[in-house]
Amino acid sequence: MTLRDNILNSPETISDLAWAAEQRFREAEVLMDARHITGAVYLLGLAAEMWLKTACFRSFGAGLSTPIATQLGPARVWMRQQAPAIDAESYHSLQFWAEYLIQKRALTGIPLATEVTGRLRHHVTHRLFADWKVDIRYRLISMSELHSNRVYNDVVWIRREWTSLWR
Amino acid sequence: MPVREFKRELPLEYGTLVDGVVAEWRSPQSTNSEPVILTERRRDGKIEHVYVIWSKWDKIERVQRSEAVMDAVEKVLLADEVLNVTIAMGLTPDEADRLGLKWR
Repeated sequence: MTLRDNILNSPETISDLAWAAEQRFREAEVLMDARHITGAVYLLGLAAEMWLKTACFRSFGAGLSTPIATQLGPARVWMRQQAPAIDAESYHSLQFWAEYLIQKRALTGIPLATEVTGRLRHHVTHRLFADWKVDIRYRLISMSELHSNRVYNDVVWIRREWTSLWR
Repeated sequence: MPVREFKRELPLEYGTLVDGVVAEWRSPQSTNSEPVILTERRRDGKIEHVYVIWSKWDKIERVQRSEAVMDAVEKVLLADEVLNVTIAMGLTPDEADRLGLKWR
């Protein structure tokens, strides 16, 4: 079976997402050490996106074996009703997932602690969202070490805290 | 020949699929074999999972199936009921069988 067949025949689950996030993060660290900064930042953003999605889906009842695709339609409609100004950007927007997590948890009676909400908005909505966009994969971009270090530090925070974002 | 703008992000049949789910949902006495709509409720009785089993999903990507099911949900349920739905899944009959759903 080819890699393509394997992927097509096994829809990705929440568990896959969590493992893939860790894999992308470790690959990003290798690239950072080798000074391949743009590739590292791209992978760091993907890892952040996956940890945020996992926190959202687990917060709202998904199990580890739940297919990810089944969660996306409900998230899109929820945000369309509650925060229509925030674009999902084909489900890659870090702001979309952070705000979905914060706002839906608040509205469903399981709010994040005020301090956690503040840190999440600081690291993701106010910084990572501006510092990363999935489209960088199609661009020839050079980034400063300052930029990559800031992204790295923000993603390290998510990596450390993501399990507490859904418990 | 005039130049016309061509813009398409969703499959041509997307709207038809949404309408098909809505029509079936609104026809509880329907004798159609498909689509089959399964709803799963929380303890408080509110719908939280929606599964639509339909052969017509075959060529549609999984994310678009979820979006189509939710667009149908939005047309059938009240706005605040829509917000409770956390899983929207479109499956072909074979996929539903593989998943072990008891739908037949």
